[in-house]
Order: sequence, then C-alpha cells, then structure tokens
Amino acid sequence: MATSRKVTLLSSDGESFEVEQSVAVESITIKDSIEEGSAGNPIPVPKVNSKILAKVIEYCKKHVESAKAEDRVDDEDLVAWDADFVKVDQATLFDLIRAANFLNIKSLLDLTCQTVADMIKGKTPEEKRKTFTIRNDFTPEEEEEVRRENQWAFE
Amino acid sequence: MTCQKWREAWKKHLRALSFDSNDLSTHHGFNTTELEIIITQTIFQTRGLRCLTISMEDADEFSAAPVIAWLMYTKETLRELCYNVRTHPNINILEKCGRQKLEVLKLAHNSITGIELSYQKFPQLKSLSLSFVSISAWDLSLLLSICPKIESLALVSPDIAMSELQATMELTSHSLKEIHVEAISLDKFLLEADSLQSLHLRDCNLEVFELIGKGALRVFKMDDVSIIHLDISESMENLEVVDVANFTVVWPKFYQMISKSLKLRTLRLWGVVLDEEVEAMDLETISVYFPRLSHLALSYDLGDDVLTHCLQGSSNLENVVALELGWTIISNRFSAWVAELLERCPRLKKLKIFVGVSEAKTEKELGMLGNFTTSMIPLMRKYMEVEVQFEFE
Repeated sequence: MATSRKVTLLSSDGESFEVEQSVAVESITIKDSIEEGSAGNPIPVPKVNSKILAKVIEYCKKHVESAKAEDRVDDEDLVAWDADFVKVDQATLFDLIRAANFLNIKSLLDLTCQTVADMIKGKTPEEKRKTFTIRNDFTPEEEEEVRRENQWAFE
Repeated sequence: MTCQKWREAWKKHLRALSFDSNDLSTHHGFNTTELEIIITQTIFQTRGLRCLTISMEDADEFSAAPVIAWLMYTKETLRELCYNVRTHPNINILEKCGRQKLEVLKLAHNSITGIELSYQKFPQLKSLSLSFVSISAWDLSLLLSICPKIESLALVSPDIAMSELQATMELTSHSLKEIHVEAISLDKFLLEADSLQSLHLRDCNLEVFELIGKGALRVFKMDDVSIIHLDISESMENLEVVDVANFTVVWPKFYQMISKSLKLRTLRLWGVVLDEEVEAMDLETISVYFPRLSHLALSYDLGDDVLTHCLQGSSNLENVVALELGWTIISNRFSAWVAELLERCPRLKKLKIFVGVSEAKTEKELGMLGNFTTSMIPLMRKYMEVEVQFEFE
C-alpha cells in the first residue's frame, strides 16, 4: 500500500499540525500554494489560530473520509455530523467563517454561513440585535426610512 | 435593518438574493403584483448581485416587464440565476440574462425559442438545469454547443419539440462531466461526451440509448428506466458506481458491459425482475468481477432456482463493508439469503434490510414476515459487529 503524503500546517500562534495532503488540499488556498511550489514546510496559516485550525482540520478529515465511502447511509450521517460540528459558541462560529473564507473551503464556508443565516431568519431587528449583541446606531429618522424601504418585511 | 454596518453590507456587498415562496408564505400571501414590486424594490437596492434565485411555487406568472428589468439590472455581475416562474408574455430568458459571467443557470416552467449562434455564447456556464422547459431538440443541441465549459446538465421533464418521424435527441459536449435526465420518452437518445463521469437517468423510456465517450465514466445510475437497445461505446474500466433500480434492459448484455469494471466500489441491482431469460448476478461472479466492491445492494425475487444460482461458488466478498438487501415478493428463502451473505462478507460493518410490509396481505404472507423477523435474531447475535437497520416500506 502506498504511503500517503503528509504536510505540516502552522497556525498563527505557532502550533504545528501534521495532516494528510489529501485533507490539506480541501483548502484551495493551500492546494494552490502546494501546486505552485510556493508552500513552505511547514505551511504557515497566518490568519487562523490553533483552536480554529484544529476544528477546520477535523472538518476536512471527516469530509475526505466520507467522500471515499460514497455510501448513501453515510450521507445522512455526514449531514448529522455537520449539524453537530457547528454547535459552537458565536465567537468560534465567526472564526470558522473567517478561516473557511481565508482557506477557501467552500463547503465549510457554506455550512457556517448557513448556520448564521438560520440564526438571523425570522427575527425582528431587535431580536437580531440581542442575538448578536449589536448596538442600534440608527437615528430615529434613519430607522423610519429603512422601515419604509422594506415595509413588507416588517409586517 | 439592524445597524448601520448591516445596512451598508446590504447595499454594497450583498452577493446572493433568494426569493422563495416557502419563506414568503409566512407573510400572509402576497399576490403576484405585490411580489413583483417587492422583488423589484429589493433587487434595485443592491449593487453587484452575483446569485439570484426566484422560486415561487404559488405565483401563476410574472409580467415580462419587471422580469426583464431584474435581468437587465443584474446583467453585468450575475453568476448564478435560478428562475422558475412563468412570464407573460413569454420571454426568452437566455436573450435577456447576462451571458458573459453566468456560471449556473436553472430554469423551470419557461420556453426557450431559438438559439442565435452568431452572438449568443455562455463562455463561463458550468451548470445548466432545465425543468419543465419547452425547447426543440435542435435548439437544445445548439445550446450545449454555445457552452464550451459546461460540466453539468440536468433535464427534468422537458417538453422537447422534435420531428414527427422519429423522436430523437442528439447532444454533444466535450466538457460535460455529469448529466441527469428525468421523465423523457424518446425513440433515440444519442449522447457524445468525451469527459462524462456521471450518467443518471430517471423515469425514462428510450428505444435506443447510445453513449459515446472516452472511458471517463465513473457513475452509472438508472432509476425506473427502460432501454431496449443500450449501446455504450466506451470502456467501462473506470466505473466506480453502478446503481440501477427498476431498470428494464437486456441484462446479459448489461452484465457483459460492466464485467470489465474492476474498480467498481458500489453495485446496486434493485428490483430486478428475473425470468427464464434473465438471470441474477450471482455472488461468485460479483466477487470475481469486482474485487474492490465495498457497497453491495441487491433486491431480487428469490425463487428456489434463483437462490441456488446466486449462492453458487464459495468466494467471499472480501471488501464489502455495507450491504443493503430487499425483496420484491416476500419469500421464506430470504433468511437463508441474508445468512449466506453475512457469511460471505467477512468485513461487513453495516446491514440494511428493506422489508416490504405493504406486499404482505394474506395470513401466509404475514406469517412469512414474522418468521423472517424471528430468524434475524440469532443472526444478529452471531454477527455482533454488524450494525443492522430495518427499513419498512
């Protein structure tokens, strides 16, 4: 059996993670730098700390393994696994979005953004402010203007 | 709106907008005109929209004017367009939408009338889906030719205008990687696709189906399909998935076709109707032909002869880790079938049994169902490492 290639990823806070190359290249950013020959060893991941990088690697590993299985039963398992994966605090969720965006992992970006979209859906502006701890910085006139522009959404 | 920052994001950075009747229905049933106004007002607040989805199950039809306005406003930036509402009068969406950057186009309930080769090109289009769309066979063929990078094509219940002499569809694409065709009846379907990796037909009746490729095919799926003459002029050496259910075909020729697929990992032969002319694929043949098989799904009518034939030989299915078994007619032989398969799959981890409850009507049939369930208990005790699931249908 051929040994699989491994690469080492270095988080922004200096922690090393050795992973299979097949897992690392789930990130198009890393894939491109390997293919262009510009990836160092270890490959630095400047905008992602160790806690988040560990989560991202966990996600990529799971998805690479599931792609090999190609079993309909495992598809359902993967959806359930993804749903559990994003049950994290808000700060971690937003960090995962930033990491997925920087690393260009479309499926992870879609998953995490959809999670936030589901948190926004169906909420009034005041409920959204409470959920995301946002200060209302509209003047009363601005707020009235916005309300009129999209009156249907407030009914 | 929540705060200044969100408002700015909405106006300047919004890339995807979706109007889905499932979401809007919570807002007390807007009529069609109100929907047109809401969509127009919302789209015109954005700049640089890349993805637009308008999916209205309840709307009868939109007026052409606002639809044209939405498409013209987003022409320069749109990369994905999904639109499933009729327009009155009918407009040719392909004429009005931005073509240069479009990568994904999903249309439903519309007509495509005429493809102009002189100026109509979709240079970036990768994915095209047409559902309940009226188009001529000739225009469909031309449409593929003006999409040089197309990789995915889905045709669902198309209304294809053809010559009265023969209902024929011929499609050619050197870039196409996957095709899904659903609910179509043709005398002849010719598909020439050198790069095709995935072929999926569903609910189709084809007198003749010809596939010309260059050995890239990996996935072959047939669901409720009848093909009288199947002609595949390409090597099946790279096939990894064969998934056929309720498939009417000349089985001996089909078995021969897939016999060279040494890389096959998933084999599903479901609802195969066996008779004097049609033999089931026995376990010995499966183990020899497909040494790398990891997922096996079989649903046969198990007559005595069939069981004996299927269980001939003694080779194990060494790499099968997941098994799905079902029946079309309930039989006392099913327990023996399951027991033998458990014996011959030494690495099995998951077993899923599809129990046809609706077929059991008489007392005898219900008794057989009870006997089968009872017989599974000692098997599950013996093979503790196998996760067993039952699905009742």
